[in-house]
Amino acid sequence: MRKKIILFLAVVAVCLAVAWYWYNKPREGIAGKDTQLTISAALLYEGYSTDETAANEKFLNKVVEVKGKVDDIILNGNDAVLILGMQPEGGGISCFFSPASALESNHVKKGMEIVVKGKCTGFNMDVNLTDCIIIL
Amino acid sequence: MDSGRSEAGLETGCRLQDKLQVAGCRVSIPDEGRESTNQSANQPIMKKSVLLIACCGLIISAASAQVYITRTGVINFFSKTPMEDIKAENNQVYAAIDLSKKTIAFSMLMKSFLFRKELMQEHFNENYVESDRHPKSTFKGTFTGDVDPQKPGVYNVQAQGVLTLHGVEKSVNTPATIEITGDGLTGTARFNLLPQDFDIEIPGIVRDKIAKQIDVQVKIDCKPVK
Repeated sequence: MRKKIILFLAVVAVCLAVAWYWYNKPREGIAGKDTQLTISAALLYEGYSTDETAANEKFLNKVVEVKGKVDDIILNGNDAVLILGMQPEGGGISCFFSPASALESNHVKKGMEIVVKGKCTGFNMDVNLTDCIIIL
Repeated sequence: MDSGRSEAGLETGCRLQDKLQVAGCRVSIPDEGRESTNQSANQPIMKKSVLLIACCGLIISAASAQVYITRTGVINFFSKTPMEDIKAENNQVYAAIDLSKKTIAFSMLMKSFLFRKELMQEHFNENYVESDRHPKSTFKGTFTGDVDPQKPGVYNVQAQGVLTLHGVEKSVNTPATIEITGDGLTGTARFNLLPQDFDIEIPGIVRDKIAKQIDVQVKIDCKPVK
């Protein structure tokens, strides 16, 4: 009987530990996630500016690798937003980096051609990518 | 050419074209600013003619050249309870302020709000704001109070307008500041929102962990559209 109680308590403890782990799990970046789509900044922007609904079906919540020219880097404390592949219409791909030092350590500068991996969160003047990392 | 670019870009976002069209016509003189990076390919001859048009435009409507925009505004929200502190931040907020018309507009994607914990971000998107159905939040409004773009300094204003969140429109009225800096302006505001006002239901099991009032903080560093 006593053994059973101990076993029961052990199972409960394990369940609580697992629940606690899941609850507190930090938001993981995308470094460990596989790229689902690879596309150029121009094509990604075009997709969204011509048909947002269709583009969302294709790209929303997906981990994408986007190639384009760095048009701007806007620093904000520890974070940075990099504007990739600005199109003639005025929009581009807005890539959020945290921490901003990821850009420095990769020697990213305006005018460079780079590949950014990030999660697509939709279209708001620019196509938004979050949790970005530099691939190339 | 430039006006076409600006319009097309802005139209897709938060219906700011009314305000920005005028300014957009004079988007012309390439400088170091972010808004002009898309014009870096302009030919010198183009610059001159555009500059000429810009001057004419300025003479015709001197007052309407006070539009400031950013695509990297920051909006945070906090929920503080004895059980848990929750914070989320969106660094990709599109904002425009027209100082002459005294209008303000914001547009942001709900999915660009980032949380520290994976599960919280998931619940926020799937259960609370339902970001697949309501991907964007917008604010359209005005402010009262005088701001002189020629005089750097902090101006206290009152902002009021309609906030759309979770598909629900609600009027918001909050004190705000506009600071005129050397090369643009910085706008800040802080106000509280009630989830129930936006038909956001908090399930009983987590009710103690989510504050009744959500503290929202806004900070936008804008550059003039020139």
